[in-house]
Amino acid sequence: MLSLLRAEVADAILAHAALAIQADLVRLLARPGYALHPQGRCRAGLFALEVYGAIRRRYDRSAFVAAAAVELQMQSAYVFDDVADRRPDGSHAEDLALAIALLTAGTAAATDASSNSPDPSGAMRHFCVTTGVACAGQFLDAMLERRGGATLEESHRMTHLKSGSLGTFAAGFAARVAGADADCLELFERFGSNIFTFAQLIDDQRDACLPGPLSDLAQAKATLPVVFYSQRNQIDSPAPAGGRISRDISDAYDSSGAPVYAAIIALAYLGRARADLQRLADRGYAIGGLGRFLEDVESGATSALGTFGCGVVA
Amino acid sequence: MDAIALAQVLDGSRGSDGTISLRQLQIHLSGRGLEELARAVESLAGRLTPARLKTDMDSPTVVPWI
Repeated sequence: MLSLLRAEVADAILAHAALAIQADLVRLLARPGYALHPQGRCRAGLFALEVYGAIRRRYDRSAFVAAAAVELQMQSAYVFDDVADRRPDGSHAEDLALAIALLTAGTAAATDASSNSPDPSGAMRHFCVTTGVACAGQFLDAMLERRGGATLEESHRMTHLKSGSLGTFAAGFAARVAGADADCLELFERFGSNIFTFAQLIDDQRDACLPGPLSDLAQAKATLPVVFYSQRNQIDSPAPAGGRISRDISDAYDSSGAPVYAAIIALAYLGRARADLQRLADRGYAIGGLGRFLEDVESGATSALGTFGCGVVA
Repeated sequence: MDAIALAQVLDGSRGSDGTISLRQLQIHLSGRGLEELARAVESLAGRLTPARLKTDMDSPTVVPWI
């Protein structure tokens, strides 16, 4: 399914992006971590496929076009995030233009995907509005990082807006294209929101102590574990010697309880996702693919959920 | 989900040596009616593995989950 999805993503670029930048877009998406790289995971698109499959019990052409549309929006957000995380030296200005091109190509693909759905305008409205909600999360993320002094409540809200809304976006769009019953749309969306928030919190925990400039701690990001830590420790100048977070800072982070705190909140969201999945099964949806997706996400979080510094927990 | 309450209860679940007692944390969360978070603590307790290896810091993976 992944290779078929990648092919659909590439086709959407050729179909909907300007000829002058098609090769640039393909080169961008072939970078490590992006959709067309051999190790690219395309998880949002695959998630959309599984939502569609749970409703229609098959993966047809509409499913792949819808999934490609979702994936292109995600790639656009990923490019934006990448640019935002880098120093403002202007070297990535071209990427911003490509991010917008991905966004518009994704929207065009979404129009194609929704054209045969029971409610095309409803599907497109969801596609656009929830993309905007995710943008609000991105805004809060950048604003809180610049302002500093984020509270746990603000950080939690930002995480939920930024990542949970992407799950809402992917699930809701695929469910609408597949023609899910109106009273189940919210359930699919909630499942998406909870699983994406879970995954984001795992990423945030993992990224807190990465080496030097890559570390959320060094950048004083407004993620939940960093905010928790910063409320208990001074992080005005955590700049690591030799470009690395020092062992002392890493140990202080561990012993602050921040990783435990983030893991507990992540697991609460995982619990919600499991409950949502059970409700979908109770309503007769074919949740096998979604269950495997959830297990795959959870298995990738094993280290973050089970390893803490010596003597931190008992 | 009450992220602030969890932080308060977590801080209050430390022993004299600073160790966080997951059992105490679970009890305190239940006592405050935060059952969802208490269940998450129980789930966490079942996943614990030996302490983090030093090599974790030397082999970062920065590709987002998505």
